[in-house]
This record gives sequence, C-alpha cells and structure tokens, in this order.
Amino acid sequence: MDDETLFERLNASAPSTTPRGDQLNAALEEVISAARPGHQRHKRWLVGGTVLSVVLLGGTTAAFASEPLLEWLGFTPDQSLQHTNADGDICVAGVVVLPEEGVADDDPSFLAAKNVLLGIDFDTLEIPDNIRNGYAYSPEAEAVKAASIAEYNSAHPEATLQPAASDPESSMLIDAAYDVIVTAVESEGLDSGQFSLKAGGKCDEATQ
Amino acid sequence: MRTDQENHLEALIRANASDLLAFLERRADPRADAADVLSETFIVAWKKAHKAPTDAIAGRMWLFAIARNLLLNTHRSTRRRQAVGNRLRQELEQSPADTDDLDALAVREAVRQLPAGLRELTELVHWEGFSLVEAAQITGVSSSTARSRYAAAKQRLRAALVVEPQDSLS
Repeated sequence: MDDETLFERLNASAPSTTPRGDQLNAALEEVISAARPGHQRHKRWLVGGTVLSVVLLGGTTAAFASEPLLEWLGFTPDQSLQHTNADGDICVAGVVVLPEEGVADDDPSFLAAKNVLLGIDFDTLEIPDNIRNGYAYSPEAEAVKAASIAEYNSAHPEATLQPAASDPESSMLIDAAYDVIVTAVESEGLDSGQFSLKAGGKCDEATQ
Repeated sequence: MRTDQENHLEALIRANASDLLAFLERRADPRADAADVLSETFIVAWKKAHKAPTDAIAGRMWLFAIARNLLLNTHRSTRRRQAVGNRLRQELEQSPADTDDLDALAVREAVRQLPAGLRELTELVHWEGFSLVEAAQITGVSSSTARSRYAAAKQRLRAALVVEPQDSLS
C-alpha cells in the first residue's frame, strides 16, 4: 500500500464528532465564558477563627445574626448561615451581595442578584458535587496553602501568618449560592459581572 | 480593564475551542466527558495566561498540549464533573451514533493496536490535521523522535491493513 492510500484511509478513520450548530455553539460559549477569571473574581471569602463565644439565636436570616458576628464581619449581611462542624464547634457566616466598583446601587443585575440571595434557604441548599469534590476543597489544595504559608513564615519570622481554621462547609454553601445567583441572573439576560458576593464566617466554641 | 494578554488569550481560546472539543470528543470515554476536560483546559489556560505564546500557531499547540495532559490525567482517574459544562455535556450525549464504514472501523482498530506513543502521533496527524512537528510539540517529544515513531507506525499499519478499503455501509 502506498503512502497516499494509507493516508487516505487513516484520514477517513477519524471518529466523527458532534455536528456543530447553534445549540452546541451556545453550550461551548457557556464553557468559554465560565472559564474566564472574571467569573471567579466576584466572590470574596473571609474566614476568621478567634475563640469568641457567639450566642446563636437560630434562623438563617440576617435578623437572627448575632451582634458579635455582625461586629466581627464589619458589614451587614443579606443572609447568614450556621452549622456545627466536625469538631463540634458552631460555625456562622454572613453573606452580602455588593455592586462591583462603578456599578450603581439600582443596577438591575445587582438588584436581581440580591433578590436571589435573599430567596436562598441555606438550610436546604445542596452543595453540588463539582464544588464538594472540587480542587479548592481537596487535600492537595490544603497542602499547597499550608506550604505557601510555611514558606512565607520562614521568610518572615518576625511577623508570621497564623491562618484561621477553615470552614469548608460554609464556604462550599456560599460557593453553591454564588452559582445559583449567577445562573438566575444570567437566565434573565443580565450581566453577572456587575456584582460580587462577599462573605465572612467564624467557628467558635458554642455557648448555650 | 482587560489587558492585552487577556484579550489575546480570549481570542486564542475562541479560535481553537471547536477543534479542541473535537480532539477531546475523539478521545474521551464516554464522549460527554469531553465537556469537563474542555472546561478544565480553559481554566488551566487562564491560570497560565502569562505563559500563553503570542504567536497564533504556537498558542494553538500550547492549548492542545494542556488539553492532552488533562486528558491523560482523566484516563488515570475518574474525572470530576464540572457544573459549567453540563449543557455542553448534554449536547454531546445527544450526539448521533457514529455511522462510520467498515474500513474506517478497521483502520481505527489498527491504530488502536499501536503502542501508545505511535498511536498518539498518528491520531494527531491524521485525525486532527497537525504536522508531524506540531504533533511532536504537543506530545513533548523531539522532532526526530516523532519522525522515527511515525515511520514505525506507518510500517505497522501497512502490515495490519493489507486489505484494500471496503465498501461503505452507509
């Protein structure tokens, strides 16, 4: 068999691919857009871990967030959530939707995002597998973070970083909420880059 | 404000997205997993944006090398599903079944029987349309190694495909 025949047969043996059309292109566009750093930049997550006893009043709305938590957060959350972690500590967190810099307070995207957040029930919100099993919450990511902090502390013995214990459950819930908000806002044809989600939380020994 | 680097990478991704998907579709099993690997490819590309070649061809090779490496990892472990790729996954799952003729299936099987290094080069050249030099770049081997591997692959395929092309089924 000469090269030409062999090449023709090899070229013709390529497995077929999904026909390109409007629907596939739209799905492809979603993947391209979602990968942009901008989509991951609008979430800010602060975690604290001082052993300040927090009296929890229960509930999942901002109205029930305790004063110490509000004081610690430094902002008034639209929503707050709580859970008991594996160590038996009670973890609380507050979340607020904020307009991005230069975006007006009456921006439709921002207002829509705030409405969606207010409607989320964190008690029943499910954490998708892609978040729960994602790299951000993997032992590998924890190891990278620990190594990075150790490296910094080694270079700055005079002012070492003492990171707070993480609260992955709250963080994952907030990640899940962010996805819900972005999906809902974009389904209304609005720009999900107009707002950010800011959250803070802490885990403390419970005071009953 | 987006930087020139970001605009460049965005354009590079858009220009190659469909071909990258085709590349992954032909190799992912099940095919719908291509959506997840494609999503990861773009995320990794953005994380390494500062390393993206400014030349369009070199940039294309760079993206395919990222996709190829992720695909290798996929074969080693179960892929974590990406929510952002759900819609694309559905589209791929609804894709009609192959209607390839008997000869295409026979050739594909012969290619599948090649040792991994030979097989990969052959597929990149004949399925994806890369030159041998480009395929070498994507797989991280020297051009001379690629040439000798490709020659060996052709020799093996000639021996395996002694039968002339058969009539198409379709």
